[in-house]
Amino acid sequence: MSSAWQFYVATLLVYAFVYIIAVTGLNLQFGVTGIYNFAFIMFQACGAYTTAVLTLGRSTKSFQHFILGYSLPFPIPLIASGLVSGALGLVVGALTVRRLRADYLAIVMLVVSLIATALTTDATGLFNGAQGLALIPQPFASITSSTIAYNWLYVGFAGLVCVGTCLAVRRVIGSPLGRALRAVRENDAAASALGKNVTALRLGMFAAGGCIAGLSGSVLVGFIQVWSPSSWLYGETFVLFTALVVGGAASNLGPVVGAVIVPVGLAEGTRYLPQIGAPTLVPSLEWIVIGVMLLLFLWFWPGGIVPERKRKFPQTEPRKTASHILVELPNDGLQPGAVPVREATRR
Amino acid sequence: MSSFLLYVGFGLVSASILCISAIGFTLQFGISNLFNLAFGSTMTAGAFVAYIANSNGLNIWPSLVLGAAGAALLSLFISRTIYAPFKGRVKSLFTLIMVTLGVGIILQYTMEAIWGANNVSYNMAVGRSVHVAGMIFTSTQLVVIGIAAAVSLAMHSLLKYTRVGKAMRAIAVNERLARNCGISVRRVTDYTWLLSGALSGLAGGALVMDVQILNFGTGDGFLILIVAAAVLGGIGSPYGAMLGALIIGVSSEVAAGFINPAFKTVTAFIVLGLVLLVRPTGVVSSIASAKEVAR
Amino acid sequence: MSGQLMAVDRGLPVIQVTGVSCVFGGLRAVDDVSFSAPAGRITGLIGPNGAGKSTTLGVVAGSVRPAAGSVLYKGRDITSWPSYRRARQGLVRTFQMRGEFDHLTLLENLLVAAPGQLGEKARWLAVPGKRWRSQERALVEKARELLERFELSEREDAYASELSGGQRRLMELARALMADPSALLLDEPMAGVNPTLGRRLGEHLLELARSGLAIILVEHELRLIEQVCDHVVAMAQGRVIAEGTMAALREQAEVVDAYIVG
Repeated sequence: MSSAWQFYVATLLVYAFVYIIAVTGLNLQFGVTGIYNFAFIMFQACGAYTTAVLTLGRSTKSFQHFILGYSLPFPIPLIASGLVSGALGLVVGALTVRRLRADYLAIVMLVVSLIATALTTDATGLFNGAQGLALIPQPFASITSSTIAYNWLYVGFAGLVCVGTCLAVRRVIGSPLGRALRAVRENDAAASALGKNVTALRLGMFAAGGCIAGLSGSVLVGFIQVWSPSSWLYGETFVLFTALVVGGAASNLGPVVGAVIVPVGLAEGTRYLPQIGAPTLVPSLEWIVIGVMLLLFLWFWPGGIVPERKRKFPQTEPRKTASHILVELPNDGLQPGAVPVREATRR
Repeated sequence: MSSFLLYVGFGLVSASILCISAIGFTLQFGISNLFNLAFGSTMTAGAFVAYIANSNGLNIWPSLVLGAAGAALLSLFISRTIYAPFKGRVKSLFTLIMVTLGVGIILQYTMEAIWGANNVSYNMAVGRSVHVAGMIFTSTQLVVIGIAAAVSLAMHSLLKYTRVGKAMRAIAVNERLARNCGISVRRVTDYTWLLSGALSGLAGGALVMDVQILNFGTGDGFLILIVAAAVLGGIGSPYGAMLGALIIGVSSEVAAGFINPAFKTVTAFIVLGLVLLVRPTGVVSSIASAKEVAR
Repeated sequence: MSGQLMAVDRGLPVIQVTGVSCVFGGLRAVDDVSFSAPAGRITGLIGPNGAGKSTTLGVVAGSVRPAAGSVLYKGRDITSWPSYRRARQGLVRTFQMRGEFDHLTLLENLLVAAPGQLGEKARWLAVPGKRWRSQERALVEKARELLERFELSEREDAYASELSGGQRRLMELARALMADPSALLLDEPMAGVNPTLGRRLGEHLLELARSGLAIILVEHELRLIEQVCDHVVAMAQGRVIAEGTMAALREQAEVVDAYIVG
C-alpha cells in the first residue's frame, strides 16, 4: 500500500471512530433518554478546545491568543476534555429543567449553540476567535518518528476510545438504568410517579453525553491539529442527528451504522466523484442528500436501519406444570418462554 | 446624543425587515403548530426570484412582488406536500422541527448548487439620504419601513375584521374547536401559508435591498433574529411579533453601535435566551400558552 | 403483600389532606378540601365531572401544587415533596390515561416500578456486577407473578402501546403493586374493564386493604365504590359536600342533586 493510500485510510478510520463516538453519545442522550440536545456539537468543541489549551503550551501565543496554555502529557488532556465537557453538560442541562415543549426546547438548545459560536468568535482572547487554533501537538508523538506508523498508532488509539465508549454505553442501555432512562423518554410524568428522579437522570445523561462528545473532540483535534468555529457549526449537530435517525436510535449498532453511512460515507463517498460544474456543487449535493435522507427515513423507516430491539427476558426456572415439559422438548415448535394455549386456561 | 439616535435609525430599518418576517414566522406557528426553521430559506428563495427578475431588466419593486409571490407558492407547496403529511403521521414535535430543518437545508443547498457560493446583488438605486429627527435613512430604507408599517396595519385589519383572519385566530387558539365550529381548517391553513410565504419573500427581498448582498445563506443567517423577535413577542401572536421585532431590531443595532459591531447577533441571542428561561411564552402570551409551549 | 405494613395500626390515618385548595386561572378547581385515608381501608372519592377529584388526587400524588393546605403522609408533611420522593416512600399512584411507557414491554413497564434497583445506580454498573443481576432476576419473577394474577401473562412481551384499554388499566394496577406501596392512589382504575374482571379486581383491592394498605379510589362508576369502599367522600365543584358510607350518602339530597346536575 502506498503511503498516500495508507494516510488516506488511516484518516478515514480516525474520522469514522470519532463520529461513532459522537453519535453514540448523542444516542445516549436522545435515543435512550429522549433529551433534545440541539447544542450537541458544542460539547465536542469543548473537548477539542480543552485538549488544545492543555497541550499547546506558551510557544505559539505570539501569533494566536488563547487562555491557559499548558503542555500536559497524554492522557491528561483526554481525561480533562471528558470532565470539562461533562461539567458543561451539567450546566447546559440545568437550563432544560424548566419544562418546555419538545420543539421549544430544541430551539433553546439551538440558540445556546449559536451563542457559544458567536462568543468564541467574538471573544478572541479565549480561543483565538474565528481563526481558531492551529499547531495543536499530537499526543504520544514521541513514540515514533515515522508519520505513517504514528497515524496507524492513532487509529488504534481512536479505536480503543471508540470501543470503550460503545461498550460502556451498551452496558448502560442493557441495564435497569437504561430501562429507567427509556421510561423517562417515554413518559416522564409516569416515571416520576414511580419513583424515578427524572431531573437527576436527565442531568446525569447531559453530563455523560457531554463527556462522550468531549472525548470525541479530544481524539479528533489530536489528529487534525487545528480547531476553529467553522469546525463546529450547528449544521454538524444536524448531521449527527441524521446519522442517528438513519442508523437507528436507542440500539447499540445503530449509531455505528449511522456514523459510517452519513458523515463518513457521504463525505468520503463523494470525494472521488469527478468535479461537476462549480466547485461547490458536490458539497451542496452532499447536504441535499443528507436532508433528503433525513426526510425519507423519518417517513419510511423512523426506527432506522438497526431499530431498537424489544427486550425479552428468559424464563428463569422451569414452571412446575405440564407446560414445563412442552417447553423443554426440542423440535416442538415452541419457543422458550411461550405460554402454550392449554396453559392460558389454567386459572 | 446623536449617535444614539443614529443607531436607533438603523434599528428601525432592521426592525422593519424583522417585523415583516416575524409576522410570517409566527403565523406559521399559530396555524400549523410548528417552528418552521426553513423560513430563512424561503426568504432567500424569494430574494433569488426577485434577483432573477431584476437581473433580467425588471425594476426592483415589481421584482420584489414577484419574489413574494414565488416564496408564497413555495411555502404553500412545502406545507401541503411535506409538513401536513408529517404532522398527520408523526407524534413528536421534535421530529417535526427536524423535518423543517431538513427542508431548510435542502432548499438552501439547492440554491447553492444553482448559484454557487458567490454573492450577487440587486440592480437598483439606493436613493438619496434623508434626515429624519436625527436619524439618517436612504429613501429605499424609508420605503422598507413604510412597507413594514403597511404590512402591520394590513395584518391588524385582516385579523380583526375579516372572516379569514378570525378563523386564523380561532385555529391558533384551539384547532379542534375551530373545526367543530365549521371552519375549513385546511383552506385557512393554505391561505395562511400563502400569506406568510409572501411575507417571507418580501422580507427576503427587503433584506437584500438593505445589505446589498445575496447568497444562498442570507436568509438562514437572519432566521435566528426572526425566531428571537417572534418568541420574545410571544410566539403565535402577530402583535407580539411586531413588538418583538421592534425591541430586537433597535436593541441589537444600538448594542452594535455602542459596544461592538460583532455583538449585533449575540445581543439578540442573549435576549432570546433570557426570554426563554424567564418567560418562555413571551410578552403577548395568549397563543403560546394555549399551545402549552411551557408547562 | 408488603413487609413494611406489619407494624401499621389499622385505622390510623396514613394520608391526611387538610384545607387543600387549587386555583387555575381564576377558577377554584379544589376549594378547602379535607379528608383522611386510614390504613387498611379503601376511601372513595366520588363526584361528577369537574368536581375536582382528579386534581385532589394530583395534590396527594405530588403532580399538582396546591395554592393552600397540606398533605400529611404517615405523619410527615409531604406537601412540597416532588412525586418521585413520595413514590419512594410508598405513596404510589396510577394514571387514568396515558400512564404507560409505550415502547417498553408490559414486563418492562412493571420492572421500572420496582424501587431500590441497584442496576439503576451508576456505581453498581461501573463494577462487574452479580448483585444487580440477581436482583433483576428476582424482580422478573415478582413481576411475572403479578402478571399471572392479573391474567396478563401472555402479553408479557407486548409493547404497552399494543395493549387494549382494559389491559392497560390492569397494567397500571400491577405496576403500582410492583412499587411496594403502603398507600395507593387509584385514578379511575376500572374504566374500560369489563364488569366481571372489574368485580374480581374489586375483591383484589379488598384483599390489599386487608393486608394494611391505605387506598384512595377516585371513581366515576359507583358500582366499584359500593363494592369496596368503607368510607366515601363526595365532591362537587371543588368542595367536599358529604362524607360517609355509600348508603348514607345516597340519602343526602346534595349528593343526589350533584350527580343529577353534574
